[in-house]
Amino acid sequence: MLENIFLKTLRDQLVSIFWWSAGFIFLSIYLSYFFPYMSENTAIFKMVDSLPPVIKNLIGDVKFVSTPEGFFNLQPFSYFAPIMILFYSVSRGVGVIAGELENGTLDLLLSKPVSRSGVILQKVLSISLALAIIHIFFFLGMGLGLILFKIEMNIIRLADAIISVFMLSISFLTISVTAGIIFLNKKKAVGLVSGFALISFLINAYAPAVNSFQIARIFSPFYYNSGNSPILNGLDLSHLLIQTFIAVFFLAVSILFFKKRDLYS
Amino acid sequence: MTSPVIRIENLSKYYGKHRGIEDVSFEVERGEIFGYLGPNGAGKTTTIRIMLGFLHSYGGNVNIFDRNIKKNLLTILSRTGYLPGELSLYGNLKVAEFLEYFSNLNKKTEQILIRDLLDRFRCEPDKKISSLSTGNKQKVGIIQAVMNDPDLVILDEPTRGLDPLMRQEFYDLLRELKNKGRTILLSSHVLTEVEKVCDSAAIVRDGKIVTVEDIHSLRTKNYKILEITSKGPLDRRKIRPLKNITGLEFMGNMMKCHLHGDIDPLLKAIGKNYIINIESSSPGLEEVFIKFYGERHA
Repeated sequence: MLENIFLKTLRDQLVSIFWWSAGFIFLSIYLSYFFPYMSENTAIFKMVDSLPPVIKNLIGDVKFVSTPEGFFNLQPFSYFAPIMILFYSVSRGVGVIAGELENGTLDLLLSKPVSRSGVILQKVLSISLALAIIHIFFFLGMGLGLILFKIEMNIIRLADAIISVFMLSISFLTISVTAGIIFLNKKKAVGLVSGFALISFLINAYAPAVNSFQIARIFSPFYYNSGNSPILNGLDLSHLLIQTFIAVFFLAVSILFFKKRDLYS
Repeated sequence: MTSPVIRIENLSKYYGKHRGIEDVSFEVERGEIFGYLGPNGAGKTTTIRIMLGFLHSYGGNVNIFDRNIKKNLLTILSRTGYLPGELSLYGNLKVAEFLEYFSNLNKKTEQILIRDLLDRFRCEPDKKISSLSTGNKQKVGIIQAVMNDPDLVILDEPTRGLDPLMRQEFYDLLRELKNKGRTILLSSHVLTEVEKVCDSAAIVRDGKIVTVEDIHSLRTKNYKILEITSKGPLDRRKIRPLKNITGLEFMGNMMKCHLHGDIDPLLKAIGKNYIINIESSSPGLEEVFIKFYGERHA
């Protein structure tokens, strides 16, 4: 697997892909095991109903939690899955160029007949494939959980929700690549993207309760992941297109920026 | 007449307000080993990084293989081998895997050549790079620079960390490449190294080219610092008139001088006096600059 940058990047991720996939399978089965207890526990519904509206908005409509779609929409699709997968996207994304530079290997790589845009494209495609593999195992894990604990739900809606999380991870991947190229420093880039992720997550989460966040919500990539609740309503094509646009836009920006960038030793 | 492999004209680069290089120009002919000599921070690496497209120049032109680097970078890189001054390798790969990867990126695999080089530099292909010493990593770096039989090899401080035996092996390799018609740009801050293997050299200081000379004239300008201790008093009347000696000092039965060229006239002047010890050392590049290029460049 050392024929090109794409395969070398994939090879470097093999161990991570295994553990992340295993982690998502475990999470899926754990939540599926937990669902029957949640759906039968009326005390929790009463407790949630008594919380302030802002907190209730963060949790979601409590009556849905008793259904598989509502439960899984809350967990893992609104919190665990997107936040966890962002760790992967951001750490890998900032490392595409800033990581090679900090390791001191970028000089050797660019001294070979590969274009700067080729380096970014091959690495981003390889990390995207890794993310796709992890999401496929996430889907399989969810499916296994449904079978093991005899939970009935629409499998297409489940796939919609996972595709939406996958697109969110790709958006943050290309945002992270761009940040890594701008700063040429992994720590600074991770700081910036994590800060942006946290703020945009909170804006999206609190938007239903805070009027001034309503407009700001459209600038949050999380809105295009969970705003339409794909597990309940299916994929929103306009959201999917915007997620694709974010990914392509930041990929183009990162390539243009990298082409102009001076690379110091 | 064939055009030079490297033609650099009036190249300048600034890092904000700080000088990188200014108005650098030189040419390197095919089959030449060209030394790019200067103290640390003089601008050698900046020049090389512009040649490889890592840095954008402020002004001037770089043509390699008669092509401008801005328009033909990938074509030029496909015919060029490079060893960076501060070498870092992928620690998670084995030596053989690392060479396979970079050979694939070159789109030109010379497996026999790679095996020969591994044997020659006594590299173990199955060892993980992270477990290698600095010297062994440097050997892997040298191998990757020449393993695809490039027409031009750019080496930035290549002997860093190499033991004397491997250094000699490396010099032999350079001579073989030259005999095959390959062109080599060797950047170094060690004058004796450049003298040993190069045909000509550019000397760079404070970002500017001080001189471009053939190695013979550079050699005559260089000198060795000698300290000779004898049993009896040295014959000063015979030693003082020697033309290839400067900075002469006598301290009892000991003399100190700068020797230019051969030692034979000095030994003859010392005559039959019993020599207890001869110590020889090379001056630092800074001393050579000050002595031969004067305060103007110092």
